[in-house]
Amino acid sequence: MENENPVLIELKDVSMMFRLPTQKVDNIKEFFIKAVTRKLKYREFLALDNINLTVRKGESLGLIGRNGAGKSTLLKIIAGILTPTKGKVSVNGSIAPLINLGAGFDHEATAQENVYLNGAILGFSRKEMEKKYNRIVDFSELKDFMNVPIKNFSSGMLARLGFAIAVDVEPDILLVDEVLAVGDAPFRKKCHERIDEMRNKGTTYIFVSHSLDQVKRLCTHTIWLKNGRIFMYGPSKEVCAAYEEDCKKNPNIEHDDFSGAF
Amino acid sequence: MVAKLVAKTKGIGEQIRKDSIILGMMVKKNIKRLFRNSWLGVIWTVLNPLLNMLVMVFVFSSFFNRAVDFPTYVLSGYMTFNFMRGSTSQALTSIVNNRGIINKVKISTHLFPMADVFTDLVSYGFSFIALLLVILVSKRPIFLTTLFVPVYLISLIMFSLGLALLLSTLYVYFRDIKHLYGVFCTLWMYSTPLFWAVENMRPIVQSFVQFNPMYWYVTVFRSLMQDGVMPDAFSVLLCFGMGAAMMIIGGAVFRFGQKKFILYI
Repeated sequence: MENENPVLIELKDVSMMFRLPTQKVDNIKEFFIKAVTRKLKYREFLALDNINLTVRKGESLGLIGRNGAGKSTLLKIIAGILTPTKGKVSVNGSIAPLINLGAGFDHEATAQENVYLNGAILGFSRKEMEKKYNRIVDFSELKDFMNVPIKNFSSGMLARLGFAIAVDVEPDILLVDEVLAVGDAPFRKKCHERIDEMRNKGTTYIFVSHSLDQVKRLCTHTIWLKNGRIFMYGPSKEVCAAYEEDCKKNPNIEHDDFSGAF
Repeated sequence: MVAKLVAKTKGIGEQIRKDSIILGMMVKKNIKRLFRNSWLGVIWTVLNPLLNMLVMVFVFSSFFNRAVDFPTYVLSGYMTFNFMRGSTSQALTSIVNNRGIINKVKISTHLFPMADVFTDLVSYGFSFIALLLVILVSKRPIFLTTLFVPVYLISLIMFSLGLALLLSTLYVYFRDIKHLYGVFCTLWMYSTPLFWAVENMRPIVQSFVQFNPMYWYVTVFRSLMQDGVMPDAFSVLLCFGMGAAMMIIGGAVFRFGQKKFILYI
């Protein structure tokens, strides 16, 4: 690779195997009945298959693929939420993950409490967050809603709050999963500008989206995930073009173990 | 090698610092929710244990026993058991209830049951005030040994925390634990000498009750609050020993179960 910056994320032969129970057993009664009658069966599902990936500082990486290709699983493994069944993951630096709209929010708590809680999760004390608080509120444009429990928030508002926190804590690595899809156009534009700004400052980010235009605009390189494997890796333009072509040719997902859950 | 070890210790120290900030915030948030952000909520939180205690005292002292210090006896036992039951029942669902956070960010999951146990200390505090009031009203002395309650409390917290970790892990995998634990707690409460005195029981019960951990926690607390006598070393050691044992069991189960939480919540 032409880039000689320090390696921030390194995945070596990472595989993730989910054991999906054919029937959900989540209580003792059924567990015993099924265990005695030997009906506890699992179906194995390989969400990620031997992924090797190196991300250096300052890189902007797009992640595309059909539903169930393993994009979110990969992001969760990088974020440290999931532990892979096989392989090694090493991450150097702080990560701000935005997975499935928003960060780790407590839905019973107010927006304000969630800002501080999220700050704490990302390693900032209350004092440090107090300095950031006004900027976060301004960026999210949710000033009038900061004392509302976020269970009453719309998905757009959640995305705004999550994004505003994630960009303000200035992480080394930003993981963005579809967050921008629900914001309105002006907010999306603001986010794009902010992401550009962060890239110029040297922030690394991984961006998952089904909007190829966004990926092309924001990421220099892109990975195309297919059935848990890296199908193609290269400059965003080329990968997106090939992916678009493939989607036209095969509109149906060709995977018998398809599971949207992960 | 040494540098690596230093870096690792530093990392752990950093993690602990981070975790304690999160824990503080969660407890604060829980307390705020307990008070429901209003003065009426605060009053309710104070009154609730107090009224509960009064009912207990009324029912049990007028129907069962007319000894002068019976209210103190009931209250001290009841609040001890209630802390254990309240905090562990609350913590039981903590991992599952916080799935939204656990699913999206990397966080030390043991903080959730811990926060619930520490939050319950607030109710314990109010119950303690209620107990002091009852002691004063029934014209009993408040002994100097009361000062040792905080030390004793550490062992009770350890026990509850260990049990909370154990239960919150089990609940992820078996959701009917919640109902079973509720029933078990009722049984446990009546097997603990809260309303009855061990001395009045048949010998078989007297020897059997010693296998109940809560018997020891209740007895030690009573000797501090009611009798004004320092508990014997054996009882104190036993309280701390059971607390440590519960922490080790709960911690080990939690550590083991934790790896797959995300797949089940």
